[in-house]
Amino acid sequence: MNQISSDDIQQIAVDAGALVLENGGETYRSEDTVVHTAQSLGADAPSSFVTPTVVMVSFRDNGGTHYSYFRRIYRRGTNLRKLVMINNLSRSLERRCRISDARMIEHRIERINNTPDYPGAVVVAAAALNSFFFTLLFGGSLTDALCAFGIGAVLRLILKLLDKSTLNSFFISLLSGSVISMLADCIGLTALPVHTSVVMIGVLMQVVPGLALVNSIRDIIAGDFMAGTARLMDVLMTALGLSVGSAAGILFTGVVKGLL
Amino acid sequence: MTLIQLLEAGCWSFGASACCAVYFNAEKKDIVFGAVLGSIGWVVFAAFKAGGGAEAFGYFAGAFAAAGAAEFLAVVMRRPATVYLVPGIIPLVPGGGIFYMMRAAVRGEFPEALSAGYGALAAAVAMALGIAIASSTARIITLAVKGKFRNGKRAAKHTVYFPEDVDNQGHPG
Repeated sequence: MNQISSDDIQQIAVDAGALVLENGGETYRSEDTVVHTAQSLGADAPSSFVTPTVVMVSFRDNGGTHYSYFRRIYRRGTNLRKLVMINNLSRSLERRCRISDARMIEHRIERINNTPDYPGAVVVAAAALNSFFFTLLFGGSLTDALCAFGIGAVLRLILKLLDKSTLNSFFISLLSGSVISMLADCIGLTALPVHTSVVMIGVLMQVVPGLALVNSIRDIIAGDFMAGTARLMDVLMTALGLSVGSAAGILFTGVVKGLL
Repeated sequence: MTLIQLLEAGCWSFGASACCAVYFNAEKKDIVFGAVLGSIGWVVFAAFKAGGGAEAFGYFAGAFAAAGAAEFLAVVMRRPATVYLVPGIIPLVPGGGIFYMMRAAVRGEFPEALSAGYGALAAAVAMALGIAIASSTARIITLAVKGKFRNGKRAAKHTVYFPEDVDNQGHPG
């Protein structure tokens, strides 16, 4: 082992794996990043275990002492830019083997963590356009697509505002489901020729856990059964939140119709 | 489905995937590639569906095409394949199916819930299979091209998950 202490190896390996997991990387990719990072920093026989809520690493040092370390993961999103950066870091560590300085690597990880996203306005516009295109793709008319554009923007705005809050993801799905269905049903009550269900599913594509479902099956096929089943539960809970939330829209229209 | 409709659908899925890549925070030069893959995946799916094939096979073919192209781009552009795969399969993912399943279950309409859930699961499994087969094929081809069959498992893993060595601009080392 070189000048890097075992504590630093644990810290860096778990940080790197957690970054991959938190930014939408696959389970196997996260495990591989942990193992490769630990190995290139001088750990002996490293192994790692990753599920959607935890990243663990354990290895031996030259003296035969065993080490193990884990980190609980609370928030997961998708951030492709950070995924590219952490991949580059892991790859460059591997190439240069034993000439690394722990502080510098930690500093780089910190910098990846703090990489700015696209500005909020751009994200909201992209989400609105995304709903617009999905509505057209699912056979909606231009009027439907324009409604979806508006609702999609409102939804993303709300999600953006809640981003920093500590609300759990089930509650956020509940809220987005009710916002979408209330707005869609409101438009449905007007005289506009709108297909409410197409508009709703076009906007919902932003939040439905379709990608998570495919990733969960991918994990199961790859043999990561714990991660796969955990993701499957996540999918079911998100879908449950959205659909219970969308019942609010039905109640709401009932009340409005009763008043009219 | 006419050719015009197919082209139209290709345009819509291009836009949807591009916007998706933006709110998933992809870098600017990756957005266009992700969008192209999204449109390839959807057009392949729609063509299979219009051809009268089984829907699950359409999902398989679409995901296989998008994932194969993503693996190819990953090697050429020196990025992890996920960066292109995520926007590439977004138009195909069975998000609507799983939402309809849960909504029917919440309303107490169990036959509808089962049928929507089965459809979503079949689509997800077909897509996951397509992706797994595409990435395994890419791994075999990479190994064959680089002639590293003899170096065993470790060399294999390196070539696949970290296709090329690159440094991000503005970062030391």
